Amino acid sequence: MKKLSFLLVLFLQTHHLWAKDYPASLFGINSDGVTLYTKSIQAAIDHINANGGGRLVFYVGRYLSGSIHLKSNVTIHLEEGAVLVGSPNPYDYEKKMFTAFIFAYDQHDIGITGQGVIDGQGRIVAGNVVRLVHSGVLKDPLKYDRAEADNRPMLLNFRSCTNVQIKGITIRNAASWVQTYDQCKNLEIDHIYVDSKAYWNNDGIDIVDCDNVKVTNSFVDAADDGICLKSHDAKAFCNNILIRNNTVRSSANAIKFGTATYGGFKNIQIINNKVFDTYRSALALESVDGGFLEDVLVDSLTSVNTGNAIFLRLGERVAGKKSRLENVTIRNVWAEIPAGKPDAGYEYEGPIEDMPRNISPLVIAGLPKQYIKDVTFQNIEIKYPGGGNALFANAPLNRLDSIPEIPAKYPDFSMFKELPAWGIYIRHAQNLKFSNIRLTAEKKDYRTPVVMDDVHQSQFSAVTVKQQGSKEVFHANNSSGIKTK
Amino acid sequence: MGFRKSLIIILFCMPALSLSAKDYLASYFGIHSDGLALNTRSIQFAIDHIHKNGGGRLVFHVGRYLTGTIHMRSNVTLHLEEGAVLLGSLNPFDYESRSNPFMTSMIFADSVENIGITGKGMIDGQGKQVARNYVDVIDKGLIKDKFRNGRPEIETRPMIIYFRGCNNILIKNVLLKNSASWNQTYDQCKNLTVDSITVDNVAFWNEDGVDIVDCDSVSVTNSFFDVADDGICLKSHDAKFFCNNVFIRNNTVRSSANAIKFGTVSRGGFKNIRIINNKVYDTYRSAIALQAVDGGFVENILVDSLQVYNTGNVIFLRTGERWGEKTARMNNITIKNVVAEVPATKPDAGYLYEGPVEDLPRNVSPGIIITGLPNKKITGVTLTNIEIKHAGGGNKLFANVPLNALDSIPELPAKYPEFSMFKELPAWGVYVRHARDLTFSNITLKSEKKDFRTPIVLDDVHESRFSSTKADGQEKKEIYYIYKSSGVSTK
Repeated sequence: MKKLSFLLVLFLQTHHLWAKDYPASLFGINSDGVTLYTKSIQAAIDHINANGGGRLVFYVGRYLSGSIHLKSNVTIHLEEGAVLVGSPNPYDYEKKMFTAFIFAYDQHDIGITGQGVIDGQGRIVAGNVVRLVHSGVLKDPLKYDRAEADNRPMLLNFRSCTNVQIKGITIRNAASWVQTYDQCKNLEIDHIYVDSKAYWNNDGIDIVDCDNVKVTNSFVDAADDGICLKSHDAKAFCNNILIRNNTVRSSANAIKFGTATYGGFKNIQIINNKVFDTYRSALALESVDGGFLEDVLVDSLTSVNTGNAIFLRLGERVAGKKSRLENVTIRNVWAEIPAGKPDAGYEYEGPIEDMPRNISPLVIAGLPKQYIKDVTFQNIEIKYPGGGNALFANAPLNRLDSIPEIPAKYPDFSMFKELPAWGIYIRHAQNLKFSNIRLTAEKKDYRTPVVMDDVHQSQFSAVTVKQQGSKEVFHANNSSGIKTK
Repeated sequence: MGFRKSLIIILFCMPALSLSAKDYLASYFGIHSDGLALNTRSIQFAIDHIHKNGGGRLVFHVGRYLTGTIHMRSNVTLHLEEGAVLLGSLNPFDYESRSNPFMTSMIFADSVENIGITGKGMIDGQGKQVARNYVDVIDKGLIKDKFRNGRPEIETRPMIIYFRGCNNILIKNVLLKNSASWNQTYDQCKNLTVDSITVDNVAFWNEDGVDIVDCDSVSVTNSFFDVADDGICLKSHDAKFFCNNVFIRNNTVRSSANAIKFGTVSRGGFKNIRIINNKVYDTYRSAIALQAVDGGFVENILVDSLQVYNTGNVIFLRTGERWGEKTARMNNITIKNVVAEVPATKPDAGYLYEGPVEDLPRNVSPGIIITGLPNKKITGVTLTNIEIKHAGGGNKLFANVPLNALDSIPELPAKYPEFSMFKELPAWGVYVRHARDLTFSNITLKSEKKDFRTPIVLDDVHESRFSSTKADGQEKKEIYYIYKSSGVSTK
């Protein structure tokens, strides 16, 4: 009897997993890829929502749709071979806070699951938007002949939702960002495959001011930032987020906090991720809009063929809005920086900018009197190509003050152009701990491996530098309390 | 050119300015003509865009343009060039319904003005397939519907046009085809012109030609209607409104119900209606059916120059009390210059969605039926220059209401009104019951075969005049049988 009631309790708890399945065909939704089923899919979602919830199941085929709104207790389940195809027609998309393909605002217990695909046909959609702007029907400033990001549909725009599960699916070809979860709670993204190089601004995953999020076992190949945490709202922040076992490729930054950082980021764990062929940083932690960034753990990060390993930046994009960046632990990092462009050949390559500069170092850059604090680096190995050439670009050690502070500039590892170090450059920071750091330059570099400027109370232990003919490892300027053993 | 002359030209041009409103091509908005891409939102965007930019015409060139429900906005005309087909989606979920009143439609307009649908193109509702797809989703329980008579309710299925509370509407030259429900409904609209259109609407049940509900200042002219349900149908859904000043001229109508009808819903009323020079053929029920059965009035009606071929009944006037309202009345009706042929066989045999054979047994019903109620006499009816060729051949053994049993004919005040509702009647030419102040002159009735019935039977008819009435083909010599009547003069 006891056993039975235990089973019963188990059954009751898992019972929501066996919610009712409704095949798309029940609602007359055909898989021809030609007929537009926006309103049928919406009717199906509304019906399932009104009848106690369940899964709307798509079997193999192509299902064409415009904007739909996911409702509470409804999961869209895409079986292997099922493709939910975004309409090429810009008018088929609605705009709420953003323009999107699948909306969910203020809903709970929703999901998109299965081995199927969501294909936004983003390049075609974006092209059609531009065409309509050219013909004068749509209004848009058209910067660089691209429509504004929010006139192009992203694929998922979920806001203020609780208990969201995105699992198994492939999401590809967005016309803008791919998936944005804004002020959501209990979000699980697991085993998804993001292929998004269809157009500009194709972020992989954007998590904005969310609480209790897991992004695990996923693959992201994105034209813009890969896994990106943002904070749009000064009253909200990203909290309790686990990013684990993912592989990311990006023509911008692979794993990034920012750029919009109004509220903040707290309790973030980034464990065992791989980054490759990424134009900018494998890891970019930015706090530039008056928010905070604290209690972050990065463990086991492998970065291959990436323009920069790690970039920490405290900025002040709007004068007077002071930010914080503190209590960050980064350990067990293995990174390889190439001499060439890491994302060369990928569609929508990152633009070459901030020149002239030799290969950039790991950068930690605060602002005068706004220090980046309490950062621990442990077991870090970075292989650089070296070969820095003073004739190409030069920031000599006796002119460190000539490096601009540019507190309002859009933050990126290359923003300062040439830096005086090839390994690590630190400015305006205090209480840093570096231990077991191995830096290798393949070719001789004219720059010093580690340069500090306005750095205080910091320790370096077991720092190994491999470079032909290197003399000194550290150069400290205007600093105090530095211990190097 | 003198100043005065140019002033006149300028003044002349000003009213015509609105006619040369800006044209926008459908292709400009990326609307596809392949008949496959669903353009609902693109067309809606185009309409909204033209509306916001001062109005104009959205012009469709040759091609098939698939769409779900769209909404008209002020100062926008949909112009369908010859060869352009605005095609209704087959998917029930692509249609919207409105509430109060609940209606489903492909093209809605609500409280807007200066709108139109013009051009020699076509709107095809694909009604049969749409209606079947509705049956499918109702069967699955995805849409709630009473599903009476094995069909989704009229209001659940999409009609092509439902305009309500609009002013200045022009529907011209287009072909409207295959609606899933009625066809074009104008409800509480003002200044409506329907001109030179063609309606081909025999794809499903309840397909009307044009429904004019509580409208003011309407003309329906030079148009052709071939429909499964009523042809040109005036209704009054709201007791506080009525149809006023309606002009129906030079139309040809074929119907498997009534060709030109007032009702069935007749809550408010009908007033100042002129029905001039129309043709009716192959029509199952009446050529003209004027009904006041829901408390409303029918008055000041002129029917002139009506030609009727192969039609079940010519004129049917009826006051009733369907829901117990006592206020219905019918007076001041003039019908003149009518030539009509009533056949022995079913006039709409072979058409799709034939009218159902009902109200049997009866011999071929009389050409003219005027039936009020004891307390609701039809008054002031003038019939002049009427010629009816009737099939005759009435057979006592098939059905018989002898003249000594006229009271056995039921009054049926609440029954759905149709010319055949009383089953067998004792006349073959004219049957009148409960009427006052009738003036009949120059009435010629011919029956092809001998008929046992009296040509004209009057029951409870008062202060009425009959002159120059000829009947030919009856078995007996008497033209009239007059019962419970007073002040009837026959010359």
